[in-house]
Amino acid sequence: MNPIIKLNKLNKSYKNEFIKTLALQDIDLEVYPGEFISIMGPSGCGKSTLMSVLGLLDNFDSGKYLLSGLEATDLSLDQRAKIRNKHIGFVFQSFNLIDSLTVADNIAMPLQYQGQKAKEIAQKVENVLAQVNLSSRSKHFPAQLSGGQQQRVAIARAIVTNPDILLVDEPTGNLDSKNGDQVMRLLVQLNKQGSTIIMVTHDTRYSQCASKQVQLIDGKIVMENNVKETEVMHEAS
Amino acid sequence: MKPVNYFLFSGLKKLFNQKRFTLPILLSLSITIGLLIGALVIANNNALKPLSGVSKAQNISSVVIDLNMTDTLSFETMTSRADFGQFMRHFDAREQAFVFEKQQSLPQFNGESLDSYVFKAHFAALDIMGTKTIKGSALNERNFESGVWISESLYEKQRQAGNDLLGKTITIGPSAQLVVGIIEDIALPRKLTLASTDTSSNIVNLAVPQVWIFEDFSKIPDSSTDGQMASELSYLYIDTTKVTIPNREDFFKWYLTTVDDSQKMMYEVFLKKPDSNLELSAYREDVMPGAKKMSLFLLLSASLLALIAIVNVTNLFNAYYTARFNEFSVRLIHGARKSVLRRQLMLENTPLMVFSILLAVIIANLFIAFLPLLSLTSLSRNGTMEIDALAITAIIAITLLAFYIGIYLSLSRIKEKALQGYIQSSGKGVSMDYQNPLTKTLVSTQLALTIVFSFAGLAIAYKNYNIAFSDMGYQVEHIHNLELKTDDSDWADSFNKEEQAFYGSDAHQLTSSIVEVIEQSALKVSVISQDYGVLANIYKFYTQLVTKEDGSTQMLSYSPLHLQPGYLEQAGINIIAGKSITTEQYQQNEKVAVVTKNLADAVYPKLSYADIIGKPVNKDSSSIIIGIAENFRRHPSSMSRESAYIFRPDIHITDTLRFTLKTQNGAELNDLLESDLLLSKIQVRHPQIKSLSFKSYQDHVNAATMQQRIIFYTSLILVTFTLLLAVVGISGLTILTTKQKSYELAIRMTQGATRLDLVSLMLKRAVIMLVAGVAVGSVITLWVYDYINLNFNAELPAFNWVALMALILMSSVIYLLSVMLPTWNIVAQNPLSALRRD
Ligand SMILES: Nc1ncnc2c1ncn2[C@@H]1O[C@H](COP(=O)(O)OP(=O)(O)O)[C@@H](O)[C@H]1O
Ligand SMILES: [Mg+2]
Repeated sequence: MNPIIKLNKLNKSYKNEFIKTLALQDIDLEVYPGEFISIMGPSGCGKSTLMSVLGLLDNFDSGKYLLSGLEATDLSLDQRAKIRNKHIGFVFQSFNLIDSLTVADNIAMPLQYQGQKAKEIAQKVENVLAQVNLSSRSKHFPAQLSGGQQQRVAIARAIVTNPDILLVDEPTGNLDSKNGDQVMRLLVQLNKQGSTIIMVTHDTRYSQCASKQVQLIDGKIVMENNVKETEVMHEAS
Repeated sequence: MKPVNYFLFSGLKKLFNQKRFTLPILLSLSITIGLLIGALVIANNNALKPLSGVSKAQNISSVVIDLNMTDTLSFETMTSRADFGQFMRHFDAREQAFVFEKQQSLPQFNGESLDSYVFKAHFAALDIMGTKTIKGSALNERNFESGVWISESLYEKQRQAGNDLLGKTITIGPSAQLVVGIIEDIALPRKLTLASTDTSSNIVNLAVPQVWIFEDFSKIPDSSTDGQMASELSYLYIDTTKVTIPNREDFFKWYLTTVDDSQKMMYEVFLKKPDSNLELSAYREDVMPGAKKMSLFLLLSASLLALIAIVNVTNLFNAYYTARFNEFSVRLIHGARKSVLRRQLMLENTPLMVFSILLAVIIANLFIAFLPLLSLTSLSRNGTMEIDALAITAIIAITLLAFYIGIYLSLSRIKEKALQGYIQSSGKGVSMDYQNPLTKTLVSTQLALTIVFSFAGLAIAYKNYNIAFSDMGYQVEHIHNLELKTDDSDWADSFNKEEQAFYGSDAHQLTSSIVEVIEQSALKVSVISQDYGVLANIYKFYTQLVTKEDGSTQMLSYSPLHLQPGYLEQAGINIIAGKSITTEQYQQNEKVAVVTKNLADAVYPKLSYADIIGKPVNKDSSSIIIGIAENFRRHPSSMSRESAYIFRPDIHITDTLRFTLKTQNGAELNDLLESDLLLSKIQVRHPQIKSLSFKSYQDHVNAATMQQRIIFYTSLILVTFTLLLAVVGISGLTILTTKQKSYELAIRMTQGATRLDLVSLMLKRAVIMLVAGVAVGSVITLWVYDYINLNFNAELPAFNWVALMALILMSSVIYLLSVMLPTWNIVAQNPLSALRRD
């Protein structure tokens, strides 16, 4: 089986007028379809940077990034947008919902960019809302929901297009443990249904759910190991 | 740091750091306030500031009789001033009226001529005008015959040259006069001061150096009434606070008694018409014709621009401060009141205000400096025009007001009760966008105003362009008037013998001997008319009753202009049927005439032009029509070519002899003719001639159309700035909001929106306002256009739908570009950092 994501000696730095920060150094990584990868590491080690590179939100300095066999550096801005729209779903620590849109409209957004029909969109939104257990809140605005509910809306938005890859950046960071557990259960379930998930987390409990753990320090991968059993998950459910 | 200093300091930083916000505000405000103040200063100078030497100008009016001369051909409205002595006696206005006349003679001192004008006036004049005596004796009823009074500028100029004229004797024509007093320079009616030679300066100073001779005009016996209809009659002014104006009927009854018997019939007909009026014309209006109207127009235009600017500023403030709702909420939670917030924001904006004010002052100065250039010639100037303390105060007041309105409106959306909502939401989502109702209203308003003002501005510009720059019906370039004056009117009159044919007459010998001197003096100059041609002073009217097709009769008036062989061709007047006069016909004194199209149409409405040739001018006339000429505009400031003229060889000699010169190959007349030399050459033959001056047709047209040109340029400036403000306002707003919306745009990008998706998202929101603005704007335009036409007698061109559509299209494109370009610019950058903010 071919890897869906393949990074080879990838480097990325941030420059401002005073200083150059090496955010990612010589990253080699392969992700296969159906994998659940957790990325761990101290704050500022480059986890979010890696996620935005993977999600085609940002460029890198050198190295190689093959996404489903496509060279990332060859893609135009609009091609990247199309790929994000069809194949990648994002979940952020701070939810990143649009406050002026209802829950349903927030979720419908990526489908609208695919140009789907209003009826189809409504149907899919309804389905995915049921999946995250928020059917009764579709007309609410984000500010009227709790943090856990907002994050579930964000997940619903990420999965409504049925993406090949879910990029999840500290999904539980802003949540209490009860809400956090609920979100994690949802992700594990999605992975079981076939989604490839790459998740950044601080929480070792949740990283146990992953099939593979990656440890980052100062922009370098210091450890990769495969987890055979997803014991913690069973506990949590 | 004290809070006051803190806010001032942070405001100063913002001035440079937040250019997206400060620059559009700075531009909108300073440009419009600058223009507004420039307009105010000009208006003040033209319409409000006291006239030099006439402190009671608001009390004084001239008596004007408006006679509408024909039924269908609205002949140029004749203005005539009543005979002074008779008027005073009849209506007993001895102490409350005065009159003055301009004298031809040049005053001299020690054999040197004094560069000044001589006026003769009734002795009550200075008192009624409120002119101050600066030195010497004050004028009164007893001493007015003791000598002359001279004006300040003449006195000062001579004193600098070492001559203290007070108490000295100067000569005026044949008489020696003692200078008994020095008075202020008096701002005089335009027609009396327009110097025909002075075309060097664009600005006419209202007060010229003056010498005044006083008489008791009320004792002058009934003079002959000749020249009643001439427009350059003596100027009768009355103090309207003391003299009750006679009613129309009484006045006209009296007026008929002053008219020559031969003209009585004609006047009776005119005076009976309902639109013949007795009117008062304010002194200031005579001094600066049209200045008030123009000032009003300038002020109105500038105020309208300022209105758009305030809409702009409010919009930008609203956008900017909505983004800071979170900050304000936190401040309010911690106990600030809204009034305190407003004060804080005013303080924070003080540096921006100071910059706006400085820039506004600079722009106002530029505007004042450049306006005279636009008018090309003859802008009246009542003393100096400058930005004074009052203007600066006005600038500051308007700026403060604009900022306060902007801040007040943009904070009005904060409801103190709903604070919690702001705090709870992420704070990013509340950021301003086009869904904000105030923004929607303001953007639509701005679009509507843009359409209304540009359309009205363009219509007014178009109308005035037509008057100022379109074809007059005769050639203007390379044609000049030459004016010779004599102070011996008996000599001049001796040439007018009624029954004599012109060619070979004494009058003809006089004019052709002068033509000879002129043409000998300059080889490239030819005299194409022994009069002023189309611009001749009209000394005579013919009136006749003509029968119209439906059997009714109408009164037709027309006036004669001098015709000599080649004139019509040289002057560029088209002959549409028949021919002009030949040299042979001219020399044989054949009774022939060329009439203008209007005259031909009125006299022979049923005949074709070809058939009119060979017919007499009227039943009683022995003159035969040999040609029909195209109509022309004798008055450059009116668009219509409605008057009727007849071209015939006769010339009427007055104390002013006029010639029309044409220079060849575009040569400048000044390079070809030396006026002093020419005068002395003419004086060798005709010593009665005392002065000589030139004026080009172009200068004449420029002077006559000054108002139209100023309005034309001002309207264009209005339209340009209206569009500019729309661009500054809309793109400023878009830049500001798109930047603020980068958070939302970034989220959309993570979900796969392309740049095109984002731009079209912004456009879609903008289009709603575009539609609303265009709809409201079009309706208002229609209404305003009708309203102006009906109520202000503006004579705008017929409403042009195509023009309106074109304008809407243009403003839509400008508007959409103003939305699209800045949006594209921002989404083309990586908006990711917006997501990283926390
Ligand atoms: N836009 C940026 N400009 C400059 N430096 C940045 C930027 N984004 C991140 N960094 C730096 O890059 C490093 C990695 O950041 P990030 O990937 O956000 O870390 P993490 O998500 O692991 O906490 C940090 O040192 C951070 O300060
Ligand atoms: Mg991070």
